[in-house]
Amino acid sequence: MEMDGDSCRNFSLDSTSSSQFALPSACVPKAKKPEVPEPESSPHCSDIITSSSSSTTTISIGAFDSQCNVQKGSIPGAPNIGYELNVAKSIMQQYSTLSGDNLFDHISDIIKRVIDERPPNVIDFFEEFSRNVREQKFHLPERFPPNAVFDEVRTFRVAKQILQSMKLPYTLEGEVLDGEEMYGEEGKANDEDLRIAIDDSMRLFITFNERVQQLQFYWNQCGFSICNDDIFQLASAMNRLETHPSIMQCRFWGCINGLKASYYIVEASLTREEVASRLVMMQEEMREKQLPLKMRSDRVERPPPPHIGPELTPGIYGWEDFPLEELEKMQPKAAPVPLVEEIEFYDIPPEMIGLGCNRYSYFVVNSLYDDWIELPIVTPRQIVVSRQIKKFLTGDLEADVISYPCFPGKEKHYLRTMIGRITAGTYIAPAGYYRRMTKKEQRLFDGEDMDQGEEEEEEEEEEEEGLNEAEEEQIEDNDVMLLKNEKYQVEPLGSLATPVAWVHVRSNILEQGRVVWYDEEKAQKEREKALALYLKMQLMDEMEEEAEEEDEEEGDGEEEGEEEGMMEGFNQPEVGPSILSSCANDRSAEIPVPWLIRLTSKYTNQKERMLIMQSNVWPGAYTFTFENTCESIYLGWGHKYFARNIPFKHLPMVQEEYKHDPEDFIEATDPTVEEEEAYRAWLLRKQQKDAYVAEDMDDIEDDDEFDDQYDDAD
Amino acid sequence: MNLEYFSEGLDYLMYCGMKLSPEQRILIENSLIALQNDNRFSGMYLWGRITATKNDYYIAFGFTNDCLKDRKYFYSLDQFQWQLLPFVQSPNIFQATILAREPFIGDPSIQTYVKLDPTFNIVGNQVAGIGCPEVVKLKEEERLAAIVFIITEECAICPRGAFYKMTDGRVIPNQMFRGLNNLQIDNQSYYQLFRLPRNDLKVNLAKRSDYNYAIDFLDTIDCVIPLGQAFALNLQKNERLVVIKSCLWMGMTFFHKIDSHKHGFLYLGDGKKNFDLLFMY
Repeated sequence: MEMDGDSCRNFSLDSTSSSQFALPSACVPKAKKPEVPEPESSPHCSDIITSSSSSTTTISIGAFDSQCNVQKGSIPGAPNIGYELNVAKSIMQQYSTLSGDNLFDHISDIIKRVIDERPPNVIDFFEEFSRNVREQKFHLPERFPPNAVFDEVRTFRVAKQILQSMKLPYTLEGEVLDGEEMYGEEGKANDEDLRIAIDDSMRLFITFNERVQQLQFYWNQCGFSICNDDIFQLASAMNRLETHPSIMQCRFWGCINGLKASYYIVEASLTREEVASRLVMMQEEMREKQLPLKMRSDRVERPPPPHIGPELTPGIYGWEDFPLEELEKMQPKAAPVPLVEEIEFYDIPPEMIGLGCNRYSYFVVNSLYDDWIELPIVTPRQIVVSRQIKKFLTGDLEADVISYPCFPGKEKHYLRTMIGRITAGTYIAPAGYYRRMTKKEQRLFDGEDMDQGEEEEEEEEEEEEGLNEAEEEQIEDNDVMLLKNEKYQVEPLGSLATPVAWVHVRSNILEQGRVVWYDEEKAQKEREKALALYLKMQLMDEMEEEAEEEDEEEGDGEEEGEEEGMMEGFNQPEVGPSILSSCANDRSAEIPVPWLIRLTSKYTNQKERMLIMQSNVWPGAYTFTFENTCESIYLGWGHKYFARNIPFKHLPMVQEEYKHDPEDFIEATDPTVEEEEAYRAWLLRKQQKDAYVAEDMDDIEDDDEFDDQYDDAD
Repeated sequence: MNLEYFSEGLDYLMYCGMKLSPEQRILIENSLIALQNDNRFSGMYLWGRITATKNDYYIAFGFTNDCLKDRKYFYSLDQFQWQLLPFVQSPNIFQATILAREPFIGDPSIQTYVKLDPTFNIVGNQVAGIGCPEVVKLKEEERLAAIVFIITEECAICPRGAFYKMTDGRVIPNQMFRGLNNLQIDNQSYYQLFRLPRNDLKVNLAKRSDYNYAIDFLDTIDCVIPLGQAFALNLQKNERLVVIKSCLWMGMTFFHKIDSHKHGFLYLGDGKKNFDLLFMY
């Protein structure tokens, strides 16, 4: 404060000294004015700022005075233009007490910027422009190190990840790396040899076009594609995936948008060895799941909960007359505590890896520099439920899917079902483009599989296959992998521009959620048989528990009988459109025209135009064809088309959740006043007796508590 | 999307997976330049495409003085002959447009009949009577105009500061707009709806402490109902590009390049509102 006062005094002194030169009177108070609020504002500011700002003002004022003094010598007392200008300039140059800036500098900055940059219509945006100039002035010093902290650029993190993902050989550790590289090359060479050795038998079955950059050209022509910047990264990311030993072939499936990030999806088929090794694990698991509950070894008998809520009082009137020892043994007269009942529930088993819906594996990433994550297999129940819901994907594979009916799984399962459904619905090709495998090829394709699998799983596999084949022979050919037809005749686009000329090339998924129909009823009977056998064995083992077991058996019989009743609808094998059926037969209740047909160029370039089939049922699914190339891709949100809104399933009525009979709730009349009186009297008597006997204090306390409880209950 | 940086904008919009084929791009860009010249527009924008079963509609708009009030919309079936979209005022048409189940056909003169929802007379919390649902004759051209208007109203986006309100009330593109910076880019309150503001000016100004009368007069997208669910904001391209997709009108995509004046929106879709939005989060 004192210092500021001093500066004020200095200033006023100086200005009075300058007022000798007949300053216009208006000028002096104006010049003073900005100085006045400073003492007010300075206490709020920190010391350093006040001192610095005040010092700068004093310095500048000194400079101004000296300027005036210089002019004082040259100019006589009469007012003249030069002097007026100086005064005006000094007014403009007064420093703001808040920002330490002055108007003169600002206006000169603006003028400089306008002349340098020549922005159009600057007068219309003058305020904005002025604000901009000032803003940049404040920001300027921060941007230049070393005085300021260097702020990490937003893009740096991403750039680093991209570089890391490319696994560039750094020259810094050249020698060590060289050796490794040599080894690596050898290893690679070996790998390649191996791959070739494997591929020779499987080359026939490679139907995927894995060259995304080549496809990108077509996609660009068609008017849908992923970004040009990303395509190289996609190609290298797919290369990373492809060289993995367990992958036979892969292709870019498409993109599904999420709210926070989108998924890039690659479809891959695994090598035979990989499939075989997974199959072993999966079969174990499936067998475990299909076992009847009672046969599962891991099932632990849970002890019933000791009680629920507060202890119930023994409920017979006159119980107080009983002696204490007997009271302790008394069972409270209340409904037994309900226990959790285990209901036998069997899912329709998912199709084995390499078959049906799980024929291909899918790998996803959010950003192309990340590692590919394999999606889990899809189960029929997931497919069935996913047909009843419509959700946004978030971009996080582990996110919960909150829906009704409850979706069994996380977002990765949901994503997988969507991929499966879209693939089944929208993958088409011109008729004759793909062909079925011949029997010889089929054997080649399956044969080695069998040889390897048979070592351990011979019996089971045969059993299962026998089981499947027996009943599904007529529809089994739906679940096949198609091969490219070498004899495919390129048809003119004109004749292809109708859905009749196109066929579905992926197996249709049935209502049940499988490609190959699963006979639930038969499986149920098998389970019953197995259970009966198991129980018989147990009976023979443990003769003393005979009675109980019989009870259980009876119970099971009833249960299963009910289930059988429910399953009756499944008696007839469900049939859907078979693979290679024509697109002209597609029907959708929601949209009358399931396929849109577009040419990439309508008016020009007749020779090189392509034909696009665009699915209306799954907006975002495209298939293009050009001469010998035909590829499908999906770029969208993963939502099926609905004309207005999806008919969501409603929640059931609340009352249905807990069914009860009238006798579940037994009403009792409240005790009358007399009864209560009698109780109190009895209590008093007991207490007196206790006191008389002079037992521990504990007992009395107990009684008190009891008393309290009773009162509360009242 | 602004015609000034048409192909660049299309490249950015590829992050939604869709763009135009080369022929469409050339036809549309050049025919729009011609259209701009014929109509003496000061700004010309491609609005998007509405998929129809036979032919797709391409929509464009331009303006002379005020980019909010005197926009003129055009549509084209063949991508080079542009016709003026009619101006729809009847609320019946709007209601019918929202309710129409059938996809667009691709013939502007075709007429369909749309049954409106029944009206209910409610007296004292009881339904006193049900009005007979009205059947409205809907010409596809009018339906198109209505749907374009609705989509623009509900989810056309511009970054804060891209448009400037002059003292005489006209709204023009801000020549000084330098783009949003690092800190602002992922904040939804820095994006505005490119329509005549519906909120009160005071409400819009009061939302931020650093308000600016000339800029903050538009409604921001963080207040669109359902709050926080109507738009999905993503950063792309080394986080240099922000892409906002509307969840209400699937297919509406907005892009803005960080620290540059380039921004735009494009609708490529079938003109169907996502009525299930609230169940989808």
